[in-house]
Amino acid sequence: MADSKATTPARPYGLVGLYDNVDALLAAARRVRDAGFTNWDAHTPFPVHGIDKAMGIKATFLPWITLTMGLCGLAFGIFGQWWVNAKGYAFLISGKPMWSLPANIPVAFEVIIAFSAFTTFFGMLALNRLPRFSHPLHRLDAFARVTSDRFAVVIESGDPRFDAGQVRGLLAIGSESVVECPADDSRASLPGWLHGIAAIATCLTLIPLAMAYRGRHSTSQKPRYAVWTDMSFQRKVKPQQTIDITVGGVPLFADGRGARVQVPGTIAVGQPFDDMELRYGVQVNAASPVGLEPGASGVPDAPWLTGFPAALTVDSAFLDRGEQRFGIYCSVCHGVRGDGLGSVALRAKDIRGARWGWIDPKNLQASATVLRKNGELFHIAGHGISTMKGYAAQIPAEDRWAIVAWVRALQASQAIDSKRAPEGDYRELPIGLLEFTQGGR
Amino acid sequence: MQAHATIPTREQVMVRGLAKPATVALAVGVIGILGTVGIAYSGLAGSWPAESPYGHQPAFGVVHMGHSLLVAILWALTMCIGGLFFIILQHLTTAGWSVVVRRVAEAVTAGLVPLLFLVLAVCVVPTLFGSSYIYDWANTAFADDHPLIHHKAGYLNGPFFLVRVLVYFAIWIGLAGFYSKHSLAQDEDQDPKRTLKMQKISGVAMILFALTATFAAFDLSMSLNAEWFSTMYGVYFFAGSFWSLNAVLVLFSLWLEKRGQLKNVVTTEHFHDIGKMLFAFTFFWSYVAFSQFMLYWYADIPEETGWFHYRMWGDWTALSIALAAGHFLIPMLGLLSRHVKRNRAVLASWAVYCLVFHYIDMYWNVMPELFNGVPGQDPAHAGTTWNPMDLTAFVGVVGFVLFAILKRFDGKSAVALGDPRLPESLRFENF
Repeated sequence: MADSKATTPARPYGLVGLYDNVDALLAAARRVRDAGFTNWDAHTPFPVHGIDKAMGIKATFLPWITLTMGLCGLAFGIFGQWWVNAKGYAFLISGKPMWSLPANIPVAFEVIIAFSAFTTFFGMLALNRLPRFSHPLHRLDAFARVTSDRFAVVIESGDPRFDAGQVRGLLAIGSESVVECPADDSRASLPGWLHGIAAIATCLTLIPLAMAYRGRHSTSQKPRYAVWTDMSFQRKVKPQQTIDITVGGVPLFADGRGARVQVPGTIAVGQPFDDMELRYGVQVNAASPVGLEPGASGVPDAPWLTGFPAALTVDSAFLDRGEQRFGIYCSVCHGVRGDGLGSVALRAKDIRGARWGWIDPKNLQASATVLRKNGELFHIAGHGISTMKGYAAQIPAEDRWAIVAWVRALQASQAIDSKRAPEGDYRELPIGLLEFTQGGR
Repeated sequence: MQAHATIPTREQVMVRGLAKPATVALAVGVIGILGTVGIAYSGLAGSWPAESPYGHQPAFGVVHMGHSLLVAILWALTMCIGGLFFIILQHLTTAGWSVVVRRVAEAVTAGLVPLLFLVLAVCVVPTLFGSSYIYDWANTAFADDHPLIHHKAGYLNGPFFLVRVLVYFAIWIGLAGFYSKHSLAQDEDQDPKRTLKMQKISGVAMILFALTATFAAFDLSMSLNAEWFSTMYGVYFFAGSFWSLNAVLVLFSLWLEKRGQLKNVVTTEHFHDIGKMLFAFTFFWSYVAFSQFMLYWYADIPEETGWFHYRMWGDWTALSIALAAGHFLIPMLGLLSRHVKRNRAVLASWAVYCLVFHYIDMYWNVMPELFNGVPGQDPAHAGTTWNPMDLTAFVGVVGFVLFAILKRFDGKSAVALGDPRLPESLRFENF
């Protein structure tokens, strides 16, 4: 309603009636409404309840735009999450379904709110044809008080029923004063160069989208681009790195290892030293825990145990446990049959992991492993060998022994001639074989 | 818009002639309660859907009666404490628009007095003897069998339960009495100092309300499954509470307008505002209910999901879906439009709808617990157990509560005539 199109410079913009209280304003608004004017507006320093009715303003259709855009937000929120989570970048998270409605509701809700709020705000501006550079009323000194303690009704000269004398009389009733607002020939619309900048800025926003699109359809050998690298490259020493910290010109650690190794002959807190067989895989009469320096076979030389620790009962339940633990921790590399063809090993072959120093997981049925003593296998499971890491932190000693037992069972089961296989219950087979292998050693 | 609102005379807004309807409500209440007890003990209620491996168990009718009564009590209680919240809120925010309907909310809180006796009789007293048909935690043998409940025995025990219920009701009835007393006295002396006084304690009153409503929700409803817990439950309870109060406010205000006491006092603008609150709390309830659900769904920890599990996967599935649709989606879309909120007949229909679904909400909260914890019973597959006692218990409890509310209305003015903000409220406009 505040809109105007100044016709000729000579003609004034309109007439302004100023009132000093809300009731006078509302009465004036009702009179102007009833007189049938269309190009007019009321200005108040604060929102006035009842002004819509007094001015005869019809309800805005902005809510419908907001509702439409809110529903668009709902559709966009749900579709966007479905595409990202279940389609474009399908990624299994903690066993949840790839796409599940409850997880999407909070984000969809926020998108609805964002779409609705921005639509309402910018829709309100657009419907009021805002922003604009200038308005004739701003050039009128008397109008300034409308921001503090005056109320104004403005009838524009562009109104078809406008008649200066009549309008002046109409506005004068109950008013403090009626003043003429001169026309303003300064430019109201935004300058052309601003449109140009807006167009260029809009085009620039397409660049990230284009880069994302290109990224999705091309491959690169460079490390990914990081804006902030302080998470990837932190000032700290990691276990496999060397350190070159010196204290007073002397290296902090002579060997330069990032992670310190256990001092020989010591026991860490919480590390039991109660059972040499069970904890270290060496014979009971061994003097101290296993040494540190690997020998020719990749493990330290020690009086390795050949059988199983006396503390453990080797039975079918023990083997079942070993099969299960082997399936969880070992099979991804060594394969469920221990043949060295686990999914990680296959993948490493695919991408030629050897280029980066990857050493293929051993075929546990090969003679090199078969010939190792039980204690050696137990030690490798706990401490690792070549590129295999040690699992002592994840797998308790009892379970590592169960895994050793299962490895023996696998070796025996694959090596045996089917004609020599014991008769009877299939589940009894491994335990029988285990006795066979132990007996053979 | 009225430039200068006409204050109605005392005679115009005086509510009279409610003694007879109140007596009828009381009679209906007595009949409802007696009917419920009759059905429960006559065996008409049916029997346990599954045999217990242990043989002996309490009669199905009696246990069901306890739960039916609890649903009705919670339905009425949420409405009444919603009324108290409305009064405190208006004073806390020094609201002007609501003065013309505040007396209605004040009258609704009168229902708290009969509810105190119902809660004591149905919920509290049996726990003092160590054998509640409603709360499993109160049964000594059950608590000994369940370490988690045994662990909570310091809080969940009969005497302390009694003390807490008495404290809640003392605070509610005390606050409701305080606000009613000053509001009615202001009709006589027109003293604006009373408004300041009511305003002054509203902050403390609101904190007390929040604490008592939360703990009452924990004690009366959440402890039905004492192994389950939700910190959101109190807010959930409150959201439903204020939702139903707004519906009640619409219906009582319309009724008084039709009778003439609020004619030309309560206007379309006031109904529009109450409608807005009804709409807002439709959303708020859904927001809270979903927040409670989603965290448990996401974490997927058995001790937390159990409560939802037998509501979602089993005979209660349909009711759960009906609740999500009927308590959220349908009223949200229905109450969205301004025209709905400004049309008395349509708004009244939605108010009735809301009260029905608030009942279903309470039913959904309480009834699956009828089977939970009972040996041999599976709450997920015991059926939704609609029973004639649900109806008689509802009629009974509402009869008593309505009796108290009508008694409070009778012989008093329907508007807070002495409130200094009355003129502001009378000429209130939304736009």
